[in-house]
Amino acid sequence: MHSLLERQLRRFFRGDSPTDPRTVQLLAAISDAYQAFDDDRKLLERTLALASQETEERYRALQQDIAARQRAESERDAFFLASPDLLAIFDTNLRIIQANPSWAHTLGHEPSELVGVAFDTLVHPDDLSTALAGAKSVTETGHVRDIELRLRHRDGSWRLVNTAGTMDTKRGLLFAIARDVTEQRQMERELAQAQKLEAVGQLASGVAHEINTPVQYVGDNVSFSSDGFQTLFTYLDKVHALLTPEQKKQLEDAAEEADLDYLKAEIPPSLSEAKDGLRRVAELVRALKEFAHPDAGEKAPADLNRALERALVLARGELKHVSRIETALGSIPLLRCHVGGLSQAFLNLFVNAAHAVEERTRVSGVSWKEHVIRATTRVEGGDAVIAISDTGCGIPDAIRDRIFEPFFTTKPMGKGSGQGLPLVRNVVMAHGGRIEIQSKVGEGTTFILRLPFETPSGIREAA
Amino acid sequence: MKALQASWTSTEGWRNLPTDSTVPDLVLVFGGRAELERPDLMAALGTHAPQDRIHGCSTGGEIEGAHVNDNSVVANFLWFDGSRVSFAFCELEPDEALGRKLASRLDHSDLVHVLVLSDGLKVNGSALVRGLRDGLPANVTVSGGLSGDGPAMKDTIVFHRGEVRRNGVAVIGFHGKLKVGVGSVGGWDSFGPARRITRAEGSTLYELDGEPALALYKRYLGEHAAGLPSSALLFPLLVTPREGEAPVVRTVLTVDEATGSMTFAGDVPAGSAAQLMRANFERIVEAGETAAATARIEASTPEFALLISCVGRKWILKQRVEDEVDAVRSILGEQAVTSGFYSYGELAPCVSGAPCQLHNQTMTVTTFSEH
Repeated sequence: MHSLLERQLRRFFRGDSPTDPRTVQLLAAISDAYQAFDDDRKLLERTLALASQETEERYRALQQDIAARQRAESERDAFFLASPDLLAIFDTNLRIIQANPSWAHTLGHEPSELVGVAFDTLVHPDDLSTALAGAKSVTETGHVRDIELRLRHRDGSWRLVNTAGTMDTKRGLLFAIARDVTEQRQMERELAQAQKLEAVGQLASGVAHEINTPVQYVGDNVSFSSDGFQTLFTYLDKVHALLTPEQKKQLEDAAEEADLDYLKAEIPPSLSEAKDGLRRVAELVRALKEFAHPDAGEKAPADLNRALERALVLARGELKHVSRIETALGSIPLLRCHVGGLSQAFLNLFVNAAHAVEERTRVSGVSWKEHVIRATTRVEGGDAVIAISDTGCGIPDAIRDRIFEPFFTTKPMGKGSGQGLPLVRNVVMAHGGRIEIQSKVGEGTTFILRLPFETPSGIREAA
Repeated sequence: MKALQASWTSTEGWRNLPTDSTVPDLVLVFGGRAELERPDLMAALGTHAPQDRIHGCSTGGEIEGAHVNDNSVVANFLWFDGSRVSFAFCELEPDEALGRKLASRLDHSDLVHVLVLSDGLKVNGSALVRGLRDGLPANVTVSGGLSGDGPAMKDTIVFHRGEVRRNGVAVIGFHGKLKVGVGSVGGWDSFGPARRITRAEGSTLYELDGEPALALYKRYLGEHAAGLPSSALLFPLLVTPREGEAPVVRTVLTVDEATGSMTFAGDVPAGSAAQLMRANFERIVEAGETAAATARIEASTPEFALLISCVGRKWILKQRVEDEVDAVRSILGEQAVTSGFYSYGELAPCVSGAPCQLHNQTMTVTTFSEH
């Protein structure tokens, strides 16, 4: 019997237990009910304690899970913030939801300003179709990579980026990454150009070598012919003096018939002109050979005046009937340099000068004879200074800062690729030098290259 | 329709057997397994009805009117006014084929309802109802229960055409103008952490959240663990197979100490969400009222009501078990003859009009009326 019921019976029946069978049955049922309530209560208490314990354990596990997630999130955040690549999250309309600080470093746009900005407003108009094709592809396949686009810098310039993206279709988010490859692609193009130039140089060098020999023997033969003609004419005069008057008369008639006087007057100067032409061919061949000579890995002492003259020879085709050419080359020591690169830079500057002058002639009608392209060299404060000036159209202020940008050009299609001045800048920078520009629209431009004599030994070598 | 209830107890023998000589259309008999297997008791019934109209099953407790008895027999004699019944029986099969075969063996003309009385321990109740749903016309309602074996949970029997049958399922088809309503409500509360079924095969559960299921149950049962598998009924499992689906309540039929697994009365698919449940006395009793009210929608003043309640409820309610029967009766009205049994599983739609499902721990009320 349940202990509580036993106590209650003792209290109310004072030790006289009921004996009536129905009362005994009822008391047994009450005892069972007491016991059942106790058991139920114990089970419930146990259940609640265990459930509470389990809940607490789960809460603790959840806390740990949250802490781990927060740690992972903060690590991801650090990654997001520190990445030198452009990282951004877009919605399905390609509007930026979040961008990392690299956008400020690379493109000048603060991440906070980019929120809500439509991606296409940042893309170069010529690259929009590429961008849209990339967006379509990532929507359809979930991934896209190696899409190259130009993105607008805050200052209006363009940066070439290589992009990749992953679509989270469930959340309607596009995760995109972009790497600035402007310089890398420029270097690749320059390398390709250099390789092309090297090949052309080797070819030119070979052709020059082949031309050299016939030019030499043609020259020798012209000299021989010139001398021979002189001897023949002298011999004829002597023969004339020995003849009878009748014979003289017959010979003079024959000479008149052969227009001998004309031949005597014209053959020597025409052979002299042929020799002059051959001399110029030989000079051009020599210039080609020197220009095409590939730069070795190391810098080597070189005569900048000579390099400038060779560049002028090669640019003659562009400069002829465009402008007068003047040179004032000072005495400068040999400079340790990559002379091939510098020659290319000089050539580019001459070609640019020719184009600038042509443009001004076209616009203002000034005769080419009134134009002058001038090259001067001098030593100034430990630098070799090379100045190339023209009386061309000049550079407007608005584009002064951009002329060294890769692919920036104001020239018509086919005349300029926008790679000439970037190459000049790269070559000068590779020599630790700098470029100054003096320009006035409608008057002309002067490019001044200052190349330091690197080391005292370099100067000694030059001396 | 007329219903008359007779009963047998060891102290009083048969009481209230019909005096009317009219042959009943159906006799539904529920009793303790040992009692149903006593030839003398069944022979007494045979004098009042043809053998082939006597159907029923063993129980975890018999409902006779407002009372709940153990080791007794309750026999319900039913006479219909124009409606008729048909019967079928099949040996157990592990999959949906069983339900489809049963459905095909029933006459489908005028069929309005199918009452299922099944083996209680070996049947896959979920597959059984799926097969029945496949094989029966869509407008036919299904209800029923898995037979019981008191607290022993060792052996259950089905009574088909007056014969004791094991390892099988009997179905009774009701045809004609009969109105049949079904309501099924549990009233248990889920508690504790939300869990995930991490390992299971069919109706056998191995792991919850990577922990052996049996170990978890033993921890919660404490001293009651000695009473496994029946004591596991104290903690049914609320199983939601897929997010957004209606959850089902599952109870344990057997346990396997060697593998730490537990076999439930229906499927417990791996990946399902699961939560332990516990009894709430008031809500369990109220569930009876709600089930009865739902069943009354189709048959508002029933002449007969079949109450199939889970044996787990009986073990929880103990002396108060009749409270839930009273609750049902209070809704159905005095005119309704109420009978039924405590089962190892109930078959009924979740809500009115929905397809039939296997349940555990519910009070399932099926009302019959020819008005």
